[in-house]
Amino acid sequence: MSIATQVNQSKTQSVPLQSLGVGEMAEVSSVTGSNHEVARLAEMGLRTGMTVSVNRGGITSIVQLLNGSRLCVRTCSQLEILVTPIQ
Amino acid sequence: MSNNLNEDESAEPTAARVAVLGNPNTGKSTLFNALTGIRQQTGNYPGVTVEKRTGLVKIGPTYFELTDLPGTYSLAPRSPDEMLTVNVLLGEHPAEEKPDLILCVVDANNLERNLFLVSQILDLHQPMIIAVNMTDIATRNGIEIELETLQKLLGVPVVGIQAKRRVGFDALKSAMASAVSKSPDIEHDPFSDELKQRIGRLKAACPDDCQLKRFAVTRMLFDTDGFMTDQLKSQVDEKVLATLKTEQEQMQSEGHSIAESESHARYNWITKHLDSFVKRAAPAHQTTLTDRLDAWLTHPFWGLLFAGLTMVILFQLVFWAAEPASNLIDGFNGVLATAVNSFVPEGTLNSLLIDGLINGVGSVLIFLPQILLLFFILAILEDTGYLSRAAFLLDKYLSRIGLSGITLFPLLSSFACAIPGIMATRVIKDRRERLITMLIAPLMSCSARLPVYVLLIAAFVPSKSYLGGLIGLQGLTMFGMYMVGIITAVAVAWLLRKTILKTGTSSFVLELPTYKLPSLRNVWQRMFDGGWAFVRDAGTMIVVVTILVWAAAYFPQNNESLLPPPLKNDAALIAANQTTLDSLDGSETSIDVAQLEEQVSLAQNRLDAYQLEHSYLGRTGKLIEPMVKPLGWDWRIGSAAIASFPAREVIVSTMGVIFGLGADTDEESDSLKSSLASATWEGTDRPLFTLPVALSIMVFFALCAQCVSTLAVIQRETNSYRWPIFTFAYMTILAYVAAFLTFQISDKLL
Repeated sequence: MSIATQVNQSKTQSVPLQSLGVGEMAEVSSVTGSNHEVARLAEMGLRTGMTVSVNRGGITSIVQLLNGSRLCVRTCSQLEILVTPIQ
Repeated sequence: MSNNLNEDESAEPTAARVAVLGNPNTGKSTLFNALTGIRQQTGNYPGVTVEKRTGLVKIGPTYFELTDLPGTYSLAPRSPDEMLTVNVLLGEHPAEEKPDLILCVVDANNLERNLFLVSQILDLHQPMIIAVNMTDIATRNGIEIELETLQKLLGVPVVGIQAKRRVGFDALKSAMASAVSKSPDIEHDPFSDELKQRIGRLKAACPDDCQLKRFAVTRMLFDTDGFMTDQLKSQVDEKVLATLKTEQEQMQSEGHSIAESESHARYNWITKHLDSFVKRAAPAHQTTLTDRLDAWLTHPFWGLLFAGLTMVILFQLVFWAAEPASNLIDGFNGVLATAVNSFVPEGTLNSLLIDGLINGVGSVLIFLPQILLLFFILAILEDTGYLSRAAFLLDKYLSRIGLSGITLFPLLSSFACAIPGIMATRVIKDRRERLITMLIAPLMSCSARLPVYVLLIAAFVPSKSYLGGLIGLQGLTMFGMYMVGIITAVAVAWLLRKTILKTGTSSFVLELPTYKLPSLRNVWQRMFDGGWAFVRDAGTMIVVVTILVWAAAYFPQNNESLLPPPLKNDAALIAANQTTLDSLDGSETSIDVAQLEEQVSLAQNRLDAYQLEHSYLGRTGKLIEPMVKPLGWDWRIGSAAIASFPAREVIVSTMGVIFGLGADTDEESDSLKSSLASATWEGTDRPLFTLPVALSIMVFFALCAQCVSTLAVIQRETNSYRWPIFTFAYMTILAYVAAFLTFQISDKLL
């Protein structure tokens, strides 16, 4: 595998939101879960394609959206947020 | 409903009805309070837990009636409480007329998110104005909003205000007066052509006389879990439902998520236009005061330390600071009772007034200082934006036991008293989470259980110590009783989430608003609302039940001719000497007088004990004796437990009466402790009170719902009798089973 391919793959590899550390930025690649939860998050601004930055990481994290909103989010097996870290 | 309107104001015909709407944390309540002042009413919408707040504002010569709807991020309803807002706006709510005007409050610092709700409201195509609040903070953050551009884009009046400082109110009132009955100038159009076609097909499927407008069919198309469709299906025919199903299936087959379609469309529209009316003088990601404060207040160590200190202060204040005021109320009750005694001769009326009514009303008012103080502190914590930070910090730990961070404040308050704790669940926005918290809050060992623990532990738990005196068995037992409640609460919460209150998920989402100074007007209003709601709604039930228990203990009255000979002598002693004692002015100090007083007092105590034994309460105690024997109790303990169902602290004075020491005993009383220690099963030498019996009583008290005030508040907060009945039933069963197991096991082991 070429280095370019490896770099591209690492760029596009999605990770769970809670694995990000403080100060890291990422693009939301998918929000999966019950329709209720996905819609609720989307209404609050956290949806696919959004850029977020992590203010506090971990199981319960604080993410900041581009519009300035800060959300405290705890995901679980029924609600998963995958993000693509932005270098 | 509490009514701060005077007769002239409430009789004045209102010119318009205005629904006030907005995201949480936009200052909507601040604006509502500032506009309406004291001219407010609070009540409940039937069938839901949402409080109804209405108020009047005078604009020129006429009054406008404002209805403060709950803060919401979206008009997509997913519960009956959320459906209320939609029904009110559509004019479908039986208790509300359709509003003539919608006043939407948005936060100038977060227009992008706030405009999502505005976009949904515009679909209603009803008269509307937008109040852009906190413009001063926006300016400080380098954000400038071009209100005229926004107004042209949306087709509705847009007014900039600062609700806390009442800036912009003249312009707002003028806009409200002009906007009534004036629909938006333009048709709001956020959707892609594909979505517009789908909505068009749904509308076409509606017959001409269909009451539903574009708003409702749009909502049904984006209805992710069928709730809205279910609510409206009686108003649409099968053709619409079939078309809806087809459209949704097509969307999914084409790879469009129904859950995100609406958000994508509306936010894309907002983002496309945002730069035309939002100008940023400063970089979008400059460090703000909120960022600087959050660096400390959400820190894993410093933040947790601060949160812990806040909780300790909250607990101490509610537990201790309210005590002088509660004592004052208690003292006033005593003064009132003395006054009644001097005017009303001894007898049934005297006893009803003092032991029934004054005691009943007093038992309501005595909680008021705690409730007011708790609401005051929680309102400050919430208004400043700190409460959500504390919820974040605690969520990490509470999530491991199936609860979320925001539940800790109400549960912590419940250690002082469950009544303010349950009312504090108003900070929990999720309906099911709030209900679960309300149902487990009474399991926190409150201050009223303390007298029982203190009395029984001191009398029956050996005062052994371990680790060089560091840990005492009595202290450990007290700690154990608190842990019984906490562990049971965790288990019950888990069970409720898995069964009747299935949440289906253990995720948690909460907005962290920017920090701001609390609005004292808001804080005051919330404190007043909370206190008044308790006195008005819960107070009625408490007074009624207290009087019923008084009656059960008072009737039937002893018939002196049927008293056993020793008690006839007691009655004669009292009759012969009471008049003499009453005529003394209290300055006599001779031994003869003191001895006479003691003899009369002891005689009265024996008569009271006999009266209680043969009252309806005593008879009920004897009736249930077979049921409480497996717990190690006899009829006396059973009667005391029944008497304490309205208020558990009553048990100590009731046991004082039952065991012939009078009602003035308390948990520190050595004579009561020794009476209990020497009490035996009737007709035997077998001790009644043993360590296993003491443990079973304490476990029963730790888990039983012996507080009608708590049940009354649950009824008030849920607007339903189902949940207090459920609470009473599950806690009584739990307490009985636990007390049974405690006695049976400890009796064999100890």
